[in-house]
Amino acid sequence: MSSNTDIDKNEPAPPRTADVELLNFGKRFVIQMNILLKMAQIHQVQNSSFDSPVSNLMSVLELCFAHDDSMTIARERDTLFLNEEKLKMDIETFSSFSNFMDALAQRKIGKINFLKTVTGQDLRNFIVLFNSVDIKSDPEPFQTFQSSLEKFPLESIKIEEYIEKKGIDLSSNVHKGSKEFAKKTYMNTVSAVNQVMESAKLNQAVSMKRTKRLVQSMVDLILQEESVLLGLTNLRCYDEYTYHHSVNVCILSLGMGQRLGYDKIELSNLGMASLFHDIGKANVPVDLLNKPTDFDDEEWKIIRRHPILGVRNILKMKGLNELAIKTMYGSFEHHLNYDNSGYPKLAEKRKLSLFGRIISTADCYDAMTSSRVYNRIPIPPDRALQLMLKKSGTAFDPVLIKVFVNCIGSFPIGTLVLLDTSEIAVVVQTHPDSDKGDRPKVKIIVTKSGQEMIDGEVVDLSETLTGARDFKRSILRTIDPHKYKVDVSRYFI
Amino acid sequence: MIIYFSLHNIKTLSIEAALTKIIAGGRLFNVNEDQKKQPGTASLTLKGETDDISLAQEISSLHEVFKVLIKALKNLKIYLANNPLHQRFLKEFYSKLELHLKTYGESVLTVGQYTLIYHDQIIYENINRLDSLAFKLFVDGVRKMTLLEGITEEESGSFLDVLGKSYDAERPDDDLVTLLWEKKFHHIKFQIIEDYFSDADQVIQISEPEAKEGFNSMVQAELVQQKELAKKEASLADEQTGKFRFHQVFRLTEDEIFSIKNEMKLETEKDLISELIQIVYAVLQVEKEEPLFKEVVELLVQNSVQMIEAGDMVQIEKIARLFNSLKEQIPPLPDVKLAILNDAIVSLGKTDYLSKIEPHLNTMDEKNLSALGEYLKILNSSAVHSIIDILSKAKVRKTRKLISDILVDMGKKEITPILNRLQGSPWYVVRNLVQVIGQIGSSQAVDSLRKLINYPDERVRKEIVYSLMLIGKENEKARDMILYFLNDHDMGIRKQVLQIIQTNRHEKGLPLLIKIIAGNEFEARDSEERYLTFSALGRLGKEDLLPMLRERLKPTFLSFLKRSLKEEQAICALYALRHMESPEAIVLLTEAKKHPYKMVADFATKALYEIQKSKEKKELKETHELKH
Repeated sequence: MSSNTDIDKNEPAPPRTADVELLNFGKRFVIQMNILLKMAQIHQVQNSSFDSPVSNLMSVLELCFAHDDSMTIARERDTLFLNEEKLKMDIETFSSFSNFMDALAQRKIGKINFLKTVTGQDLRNFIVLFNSVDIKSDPEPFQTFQSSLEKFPLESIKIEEYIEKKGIDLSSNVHKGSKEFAKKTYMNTVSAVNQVMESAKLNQAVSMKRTKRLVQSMVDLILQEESVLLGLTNLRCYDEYTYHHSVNVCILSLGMGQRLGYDKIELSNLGMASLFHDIGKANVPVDLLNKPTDFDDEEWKIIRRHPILGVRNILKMKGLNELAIKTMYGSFEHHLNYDNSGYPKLAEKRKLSLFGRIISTADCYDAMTSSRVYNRIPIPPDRALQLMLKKSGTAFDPVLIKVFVNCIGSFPIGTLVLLDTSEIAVVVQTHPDSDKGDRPKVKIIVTKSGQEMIDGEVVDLSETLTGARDFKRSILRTIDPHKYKVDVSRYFI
Repeated sequence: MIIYFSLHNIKTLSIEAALTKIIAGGRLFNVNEDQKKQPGTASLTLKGETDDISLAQEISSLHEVFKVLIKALKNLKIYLANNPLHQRFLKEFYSKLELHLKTYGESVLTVGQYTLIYHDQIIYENINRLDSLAFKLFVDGVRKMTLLEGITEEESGSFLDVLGKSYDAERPDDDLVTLLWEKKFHHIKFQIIEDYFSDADQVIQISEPEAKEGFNSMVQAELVQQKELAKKEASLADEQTGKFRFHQVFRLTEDEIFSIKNEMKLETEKDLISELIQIVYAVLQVEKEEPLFKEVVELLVQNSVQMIEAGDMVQIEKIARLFNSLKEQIPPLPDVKLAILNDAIVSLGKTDYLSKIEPHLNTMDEKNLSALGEYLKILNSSAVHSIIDILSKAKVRKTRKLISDILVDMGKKEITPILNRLQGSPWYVVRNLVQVIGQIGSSQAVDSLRKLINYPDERVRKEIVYSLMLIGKENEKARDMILYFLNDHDMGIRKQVLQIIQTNRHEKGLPLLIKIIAGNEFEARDSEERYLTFSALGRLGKEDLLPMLRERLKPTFLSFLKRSLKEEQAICALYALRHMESPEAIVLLTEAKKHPYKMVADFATKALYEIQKSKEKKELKETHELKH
């Protein structure tokens, strides 16, 4: 029986009816390439064990050549592109992608171009030369690799050096464009949730058209540049907590959903389900929701009814379609723990849905890290994550908790950190490589001299000192923004 | 403001382009530099000084494309997807569009309320809102549509599919834009007005930094402390845990990836309505407050209407079963909740509810039919009237039998509602009910059936006879009532009765038979009926009939009759003797073997043979019974 990565050589080249095919080629290409690179560390490339992966890789290339004369795999920041098409990473392809990107980064390669004339032997030779680069001590690994290709000569595979594009970082114009759109979408979604909740409260018919379109925009954003949207979850508004919280849970759920590899239609469903997970709160008195002091037993009883009230509200909506039922998952299950504890207290054991478990994870995290009327001092993101990790396997699905941490990083976006350079910074982007989840990108907000920066530099904590293995900066510890009276949300808008 | 909402892939058409203002000024579209660089999106090009003739040709070609599109849309509604014509229209549109785009490059069309405009020329116009393509696009906010070179056959087909979609009650919030977004077009782009997004009042509020007097010195002092503390904590952590790498903790194992992917796959296969029912069940199991309990129950009933309208009896059965399970829950629910559940079950059996099955009743598959049966069983006696109504609509025998059986079960507990429907219902309903009543077999029904013995439609009377026969197994009144039908106008019914009284040896019928035979009309009856009458006579009669039968066997009997009629008279007598089977009857039959009419003689021989055979069979049976 063939493995998942085996490729049927007799498979006819499918018509590239959509770039979906191209994305599949890309996925297969990276997986095969990764296999070859790993194998080359153990065996000689002429070894017969290379035959199958080389032939698999050739098959992928041939499929691409059915439509184009060449195939280019390019690295741009943390993303891979195949013939300019962004390749999507999910939990299944994560390690192959990360390893391959690391291998390219170590050699400072920006692009590899395979021409139609490429042969299996060319691939073997390329792998040998690729692995022969001394990535530890060679200060110019790209130049070394390129000259070895030229000397060989290997003309069917070309490489280009990686050039960090100026202005593609978090402060670039392009990024600002995404940010503007994201902010607008965020705030409009807050408003849309408000409207839907008000309609639900008044028993009015609820139209979801506008909200659906907004969620579709969020799906596009999360697929394109998740950190922009994830950063916005730091917007806290305690007097409109429920609405902001709903949007934040939606964003965090989408982040997890895209890591899991949901397609955009399913992401849209997940977005809607998470956006309205608290729809039952429409029927909880506002005075109670905004009560500045702790709830007494009776008040807790009322609060704990909102998952069931949510089910009721969804049943009231016209048309019980797929989306409505998936929204019901979120509403009913978001306070139920992985082990079925939580509320509503169930009469019988129930296997919680994947949507329910995703939303429950995102909900808990955002609730802990948000300021509310009755609790204006939220738990810092890293502390919240630690608390959640302690409950992995009981309150939370252990696999989804991992996915969640991979999505937001061990220092989630919005965490205030003290660096070993005596600078204070706020985490603005997680590292896409799960190996470097503890090395996010941060924005310096206080210099080593204690000077507060309004528009500080964004630095990548995975950057090493030239010619050395030591990192330029490392996180010493996280710090409580409230102690320094820092509103981290201002760095995301 | 118009925003650029793209259905193109995410990389090649980024969200930042969404903010680009597109100014439709004559032929000039103002596009930002980034967008021009995007492959396949440098679409809103400056047309500049296009040659007039060439433009006229382009417009004419585009006009043709839309003509074919509209024709295809109309025809695709008529022909099913597997119809060759359906495929032909798809192909025709694709070829036309592809050729146009290949020849002239991309086309950017402005969407008006009723028009599609290209270079100030109307390419399409239709002011009928019901079937105007432009209006359909316009009303959902589409203001520009760009068709790009390289469009694939699949995209063109999907495009037609989306444009041809009519309102879907199950997805009321899925407008054209959502459908287009879901299709992930790469060579068709749209601009949507911002109405759906704009919210002028929404302003992101940034909390002003609070006063930070002495911030710098506070930070400096803290930094020293924090740094020291962090170092201590870090070394302690290293000692305790060893240096761990992030990925060792958070990277998913192969097994975890497999299990989550598998679960994702399984979730796509889930029956969502069943999921909904399970959630509602879980809610009702734990909800303590009666008003919310009641509301959820009622909402489920309301929502089930769309399921029954779709003929989804499997789900309806689940809902009925849900209510029933809750009723039987241990510890029992309080009376008030039981009453709510009972009301819900009553609602599921109301006429206006149950009647929604009708369109599907005669086309149901096995699974749904079986679910229908289970569901009807759960309903209580208040549903009898509705069930009778759907029984009358059931044309498929299997369905009719299933519903009848349910009514029989219900009728065995409480027959009155069924009997009440005998009056005033159409003949076919009465016929079905009489059949059901017969199977119930209750003596209570005899008086109601008596009222129907002169029912104008013979199909009903026939069913009454059959039902009386069934009830008559235990009820003499019913047995006697059957005899009334010996004089029915309908020959079929008379024959049916003759069979019944013969089989059941209903002796009270004998005088009536003798009277009928003696009557003037008897000889005019069909010969088969007369034979049957004599058979019954023979079965019920005794020796005192022999002289009359002997007389009929004489060739001189009614000497004025033709020979053929005389033969028939003799054969009638032989039928009676054949069924008497007494020694005297056998003597007469033996004599008849020498009858001058060969036909009579042959019949007598045959009758004797049959008697012999029947006797042997009886003896064999008795021996067999003795042995066992």
